[in-house]
Order: sequence, then C-alpha cells, then structure tokens
Amino acid sequence: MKQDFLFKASNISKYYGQNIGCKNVSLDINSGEVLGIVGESGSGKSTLLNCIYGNLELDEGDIFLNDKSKTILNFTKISEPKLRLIQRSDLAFVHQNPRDGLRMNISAGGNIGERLMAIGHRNYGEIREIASNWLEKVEIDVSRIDDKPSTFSGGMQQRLQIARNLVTKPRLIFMDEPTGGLDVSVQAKILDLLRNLVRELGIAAIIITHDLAVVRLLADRIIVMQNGNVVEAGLCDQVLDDPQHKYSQLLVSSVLQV
Amino acid sequence: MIQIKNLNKSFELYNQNNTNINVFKNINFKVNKGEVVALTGNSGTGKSTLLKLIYGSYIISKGDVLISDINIRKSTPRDILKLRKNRLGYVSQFLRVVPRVPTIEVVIEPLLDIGCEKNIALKKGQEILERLKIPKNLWNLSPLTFSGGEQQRVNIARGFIYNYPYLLLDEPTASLDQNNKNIVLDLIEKAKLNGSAIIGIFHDEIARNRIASREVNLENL
Repeated sequence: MKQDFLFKASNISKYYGQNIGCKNVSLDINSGEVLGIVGESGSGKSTLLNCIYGNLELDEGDIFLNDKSKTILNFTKISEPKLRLIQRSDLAFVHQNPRDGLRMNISAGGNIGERLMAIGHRNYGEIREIASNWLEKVEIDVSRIDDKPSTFSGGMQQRLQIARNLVTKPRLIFMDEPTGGLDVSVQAKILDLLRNLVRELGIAAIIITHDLAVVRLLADRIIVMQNGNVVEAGLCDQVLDDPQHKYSQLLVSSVLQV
Repeated sequence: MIQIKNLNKSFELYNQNNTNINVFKNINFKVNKGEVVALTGNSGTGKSTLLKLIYGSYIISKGDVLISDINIRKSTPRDILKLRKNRLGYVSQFLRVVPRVPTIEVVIEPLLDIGCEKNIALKKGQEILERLKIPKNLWNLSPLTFSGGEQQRVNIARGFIYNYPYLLLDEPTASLDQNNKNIVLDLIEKAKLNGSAIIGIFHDEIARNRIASREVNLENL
C-alpha cells in the first residue's frame, strides 16, 4: 500500500435492512486536499460521511488513517476507546446543524476549551487565551466568550462549531453541509475561513454539499453519489463542466449558473 | 512543447434526447517554446473547448494532448492539479473567486500555492497590479464588486504573476480599452520572450497580428 495518503476508505458498504445506505464506495485524500461529495438528498452522502468518520458501523469495507506517528490504523480493527481518541485528536466533524455539534448550555469559550481539555490541556488561563484567539479567527466578538451559543445567531453558531472542531488542530475535517441553511453573506465568511484554514494549517477536508457553487470554490476533486453509489469521480471543474454520467449531467444542468 | 494529436471531442447529452454533439475531429498541431498560437474560427467551432481539453476541464474523446512529457488523457486528477500549480496557467474571461477575499490575495494565490513566501508574493502582486493600472485603493477589496474590465485585469494579474511555461488565454483582452489592451499584450509578449508556449483566443485582429506567431483555424481542420 502506498504510504503517502492521509486517509483512505475502501469498498465501504452500509445497508439499512434491505435498503442501501452506500455501496462499495472507495475514496482517498492527502494532506491539504479538499474532497467534495455531491448528490441529492437521500443519495447516501451523510451515511458515507458517518461511516468513514467511524460513527456508523460498516457492513463491508476498511478505513485507514495514516496517523501522526506515520502508523497506518485500520478503524475496523482498533478498539472503541482508541477510535474515540483518534476522532478527537486527528479528526473533526462539523455537523450541518450547529446544535448537533455544540453544547448549547455551556459558554462559547467552554465549547472551545472542552476540546482542549479532552486532549490534556489543564491551564485555565492558557485555555481561555486559545479560545479567545479562535473566536477572533472565526470573527466572533471576544466579548461574547462567556455567552451561551443559544444566544448566538445561526451563522455565529456554525462558526463557533468550526472553531470548536479546529482548535485541536485535526488533520482531517469532515463537514456535512457546513454552509447549508446560512444566508449568502455568512456563507461567504465561512468559505473564506475554510480556505484559509486549509492552506495555513495544511489540513484536509471532506465536504458534503448540494451547493455546486460552494464545491467549485472549495474542492480539488469531487465524487457524485446517487442511490448510495458513486456514479462519477474526478477533478472538480471537469465533473462540473463536462460531466460524463447521466445523473451528474442532470445535477449540473439543474442549477443556475455555477 | 504542447502537442495536440488527432484530438476529437464530442459531448453526449443524456438528458437532452441523448444528443451527440461533435465539436471537432482530428486536430493536430504543436506549439513550441516561445510561440504564441492563435486559435481562430467562428463561434461554435470549439476554440474554448480546445483550451478546456488542454487544461483538463473537459474529457478528451479521442486523441492526445501532450504537455512536455505529460499525457493529459492518461493523467489522474492529482497529476493535473500538480501540472496546473507548477506549469500550466489559464486565463479565462470570467473571474471566479471566493467572496470577500481581497484582490491582492486573489492575485498572489498562485505564488502561495507553489510555496512562495508571503512577503515576496505580496511585492510581486503589488507590482503586477500597478502595471495593470488597478487603483491602489481597490487592492484590499473583493474584486467581485469591480467593473468587467477591472475584473478581467485581476484575472490577468493572477495568470501572469507566475511565469508559467505553458499558458492558455481565452480572450484575455475582450473587455479592455485600448490602453489596457496594450499593457496586456506587452505582458503576453514578455511571457513569449521568456520562452512560454502560449495558445490563445483573440477576437481582436490587431491584437492577434501583433503577438501571434501562427494561427490555427479550427474551421479548416
């Protein structure tokens, strides 16, 4: 196996009874790359993302992570506690609904600090300082550090969720419609933020979106899913500008100019 | 050298009565270092399509595109991304950027991508924006609010900030006034003298006559 990949999923299948969640999906990603997953609702995008993050048990397939010490870990072979540790340190998951990824009854600073404490930070002053820096990075007024996210707007909550996930410097971040449900100017802020983080921190991202304009601006490569199968995969602009599969053509031609 | 060998392109439109559109067949030509080849022919003859095939945005139906030793048809997406980063530039008529990103950042991005230090990149960015006469007070604003001509010059700045050995130009001077057109033609001439192999579409005949080493007419092929 080639050793330079960061993350790799091979032949992932997940069934819900008789129904296909996703079938025989393979993908791989290197550091600093952004991979987009597109397809209509019900196409298996979220199932796939949850499977490869380790949140859903697989029916078939293997998931490999080249960890910080250059050891290749197979998610299906490691213990539950080890997987949880990896999920907190090497990986991150940004939910579509920030309420699923935030603790709504603790402060904004606490939401960020909790992740730091989970990987061993103990100095209160230091944790608060790092939290303030991250609030600044995601453009949330630092004076709101002690406020609960329930008092934030949807866009602020989403940016807080991103800060909470990135504070531990993960190497791969999974995002499920990170800009879905946000108004356009807030979307732009988040896109700008994500691009900078990918470049500055060299992290990799796998992003689900049904917004093809978002995927064009962010992704290097994309995969198109339909009914749990990957119907096309390739260079982002190639799949959007010259789609080869019937379904990708339909998807691309159904949107106003991207 | 860029080499186009027996290149065919057709589009199969599955959702539009399975229509098959043949754009062109058996295109052959070469572009050497330091040459500018101008593509000519009426609209619909496939000039932009040809550039997109070379850039890897369109899938080759038959034939080959060779850029130096790299065969585009046989390249993986990662190979193509690497080629674009280091060697193959493309200037289109349209600017596509993340909203809110300042012009100067948009322009220096290709340099940062190849690992250039930010200070040096910024200096080069300022030089080229000055050269293209983009007013200094616009540098820290997003180009999305600019006029058509200004946006096009931002695109050009981005394409010429780095000396790509291979350059594809899709009407780089389309919405520019005469003064700005001349500045852009100077940049193209300089790239040509530096040894870049350039393929371009120039609707303006005066511009074409000034910089093209040869013309390839897609209608006569």
